[in-house]
Amino acid sequence: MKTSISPNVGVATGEAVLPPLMPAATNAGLPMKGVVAVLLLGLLLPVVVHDEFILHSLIMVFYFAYLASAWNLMCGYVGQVSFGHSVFSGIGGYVSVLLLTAAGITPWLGMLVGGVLSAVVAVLIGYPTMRLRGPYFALTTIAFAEIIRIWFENTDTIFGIAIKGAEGLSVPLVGTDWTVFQFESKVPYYYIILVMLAIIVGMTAAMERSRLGACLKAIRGDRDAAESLGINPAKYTLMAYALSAFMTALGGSFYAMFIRYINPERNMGVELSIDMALMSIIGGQGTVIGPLVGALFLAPVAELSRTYLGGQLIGLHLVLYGLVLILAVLYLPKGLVHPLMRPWNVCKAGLARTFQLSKPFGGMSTRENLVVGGLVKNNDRRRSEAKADELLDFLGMSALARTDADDLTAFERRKVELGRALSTEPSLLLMDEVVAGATPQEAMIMVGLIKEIRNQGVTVLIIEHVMKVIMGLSDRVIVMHLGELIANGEPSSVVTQPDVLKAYFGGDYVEAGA
Amino acid sequence: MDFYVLSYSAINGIVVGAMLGGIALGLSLIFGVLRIVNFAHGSFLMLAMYIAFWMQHLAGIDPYLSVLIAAPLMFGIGFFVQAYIIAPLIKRERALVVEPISALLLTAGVYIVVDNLALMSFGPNVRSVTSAIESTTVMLGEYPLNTFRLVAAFAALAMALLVSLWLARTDMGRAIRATALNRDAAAMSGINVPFVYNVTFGLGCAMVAVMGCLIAPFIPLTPNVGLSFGIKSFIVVVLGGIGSITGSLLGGVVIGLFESVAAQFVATPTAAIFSLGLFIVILLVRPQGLMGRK
Repeated sequence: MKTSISPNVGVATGEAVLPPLMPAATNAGLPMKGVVAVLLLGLLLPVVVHDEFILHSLIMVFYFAYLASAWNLMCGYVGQVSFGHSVFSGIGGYVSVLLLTAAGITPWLGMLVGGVLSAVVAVLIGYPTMRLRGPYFALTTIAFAEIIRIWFENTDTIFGIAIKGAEGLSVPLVGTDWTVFQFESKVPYYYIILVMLAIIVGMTAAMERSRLGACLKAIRGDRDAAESLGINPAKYTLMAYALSAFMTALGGSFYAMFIRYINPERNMGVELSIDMALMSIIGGQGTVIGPLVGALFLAPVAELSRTYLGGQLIGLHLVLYGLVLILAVLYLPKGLVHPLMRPWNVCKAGLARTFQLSKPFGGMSTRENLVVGGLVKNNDRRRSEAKADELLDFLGMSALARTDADDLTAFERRKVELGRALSTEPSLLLMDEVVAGATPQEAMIMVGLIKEIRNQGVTVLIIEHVMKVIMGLSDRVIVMHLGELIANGEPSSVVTQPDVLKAYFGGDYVEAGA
Repeated sequence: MDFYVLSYSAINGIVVGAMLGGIALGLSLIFGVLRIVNFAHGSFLMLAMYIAFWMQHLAGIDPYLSVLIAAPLMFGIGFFVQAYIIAPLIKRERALVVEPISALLLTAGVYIVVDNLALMSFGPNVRSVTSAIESTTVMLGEYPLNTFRLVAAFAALAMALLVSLWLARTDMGRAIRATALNRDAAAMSGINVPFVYNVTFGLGCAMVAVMGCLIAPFIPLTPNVGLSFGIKSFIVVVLGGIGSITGSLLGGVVIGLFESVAAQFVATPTAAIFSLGLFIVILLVRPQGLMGRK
């Protein structure tokens, strides 16, 4: 690589405090609070809502949220789209119904049996097909699901037990209590599905942080790289597939018990599979709350159109589903929850930044600039103002408090921007080219300020060329050259490395032995 | 098993298979050129069948004649769908790396919208289209064959031949083939790739529209008739080899034969299980299909 001296050759990155590279939870806190709030609200709803019709709709919405979450366990995290998951819901449903009607076994046990059977089927399907990619895997899952559905539709008895083919089975009323999963009112069903939903969301969150979750995400990111780390993709993919099938089957059992009727078309059809995939994808697959958001967003559309339009305009909600899917693929490929991680939320999670070309709010006074930033963490304007005054004092700008930011000098504008970033009370501060265009005196002032910020416990990440600044500030220096990392370590060791010297001064300088 | 019954079912299987191959032609062309699995393929077939139905219902036009209306109309719809719905995705794909699965999801969205718009507009009732052709069977030796199926089979062959010639001999055909081989090289040779994509998608839809009108006289029509044909078309295309016109017909015939003969041993609907199973086996052992190249 030929090197030449230019302002962009070496970019050193200084960082003030070593241990916390990133604040612990950048995305977990906010959405999870929402989920807990929704679940708590859901817990209280039947106390207020007595209308059976509305309750039924709510149960269906949660049921779809549950199925979408179950689908997501495998497909969202492995990155393979399955259009055949309904087969697991069908197996779960049929097993629990048949065990109840033919052997009098409680559906609570029956659904677990159905779940285990589904997991076995998932492994049998998954083992040979896992290596198929993208559309091929999706089409294969359809083929498997269709084979099983068509077989069920054209079979009257399995091992002498009647399943009545396409006609389906209805579940006879055998009592009204917990042991047989049959109740007079819809309220118990409501709580059951709510608890199931809570369990699967909790399970997804736990998986995210587990070994399985980490391995799955690695496989999704790059299969070859994952293998090179000693991760066996087949093992983890099959584990996720089995888990997802198991959970889907529990949902299918619930549905069969709730509706008290099961047939291959409704419980095993391609449409149900597509619904699961759709809600998960639109909400944001591969995230804990994405499927939940997708289902809470889409399923009510189906329920509302069913309730208020009755038999008219059948298919309307599906037209809307389709349109939302098209728009989501084109404009929100990461799903609806993705906007939750837009810059404003990143800021709320504790990350602040300054810009190379300072962007203070013009037309606002210096103090107002800082007050706006403070409002992120304090809803109270007065506390925010007090904080702003404190920061102005820290920056040595109290005298300029009422000056319009447009009328400041370049360095003062940079300081206002730094103050504004600090007013959001960040735990990580990113600074781009902190002394570009500054005089040596100004640069020393900036270094002093940054040292003080670091001493107050904020991690600071700086992009800078000026070695004096970097050497004076950093606990760790990372040197990039033409997009490649050439050094990473303590400042004193980095500056003596030949590669760094070469990048800064050119090859001739180093060879000259200077 | 009686030889007559078996040979008769084989002949029927070949006829039905050629028809399936014809239906899959458009899907294969689109897959071959755009590298997109068009999940909405069956929906376009369904739309064409409804065009044939309404033409007959409102204006008394024979379904065979409505080919002349349905094909250009569906070409336009396909052109539009590609230009306004799928093109933005392809454009984005150039900048970022997009999984081909996005295209599948996008066309799945089109399928859901089109099928359910049809359900909303036309209702779930089963409709039938009748043709003026009165002699519904032709004798082939001692085998009576359904005329409509025979027409559909021969039309599929004729269409495959015409499209092959068109692809081989015309400038547009050459542009399409070049784009299929290497999109970037084609663009650098002065080919307007987005336009070629639009035309290809339109052509694929026009081809399925022709088949839609031709099968309308013997396939009961509902808004969801497309999905099963769509899935069967995937099987045919994967079996025959993606983008291969001969492969599409051959794949169709294999599936038709397979299901027809299997139906002699199990109930007819169950026969579909065998072709789905074949599809899975082909994907696992010979993913490039019968006629495809690696």
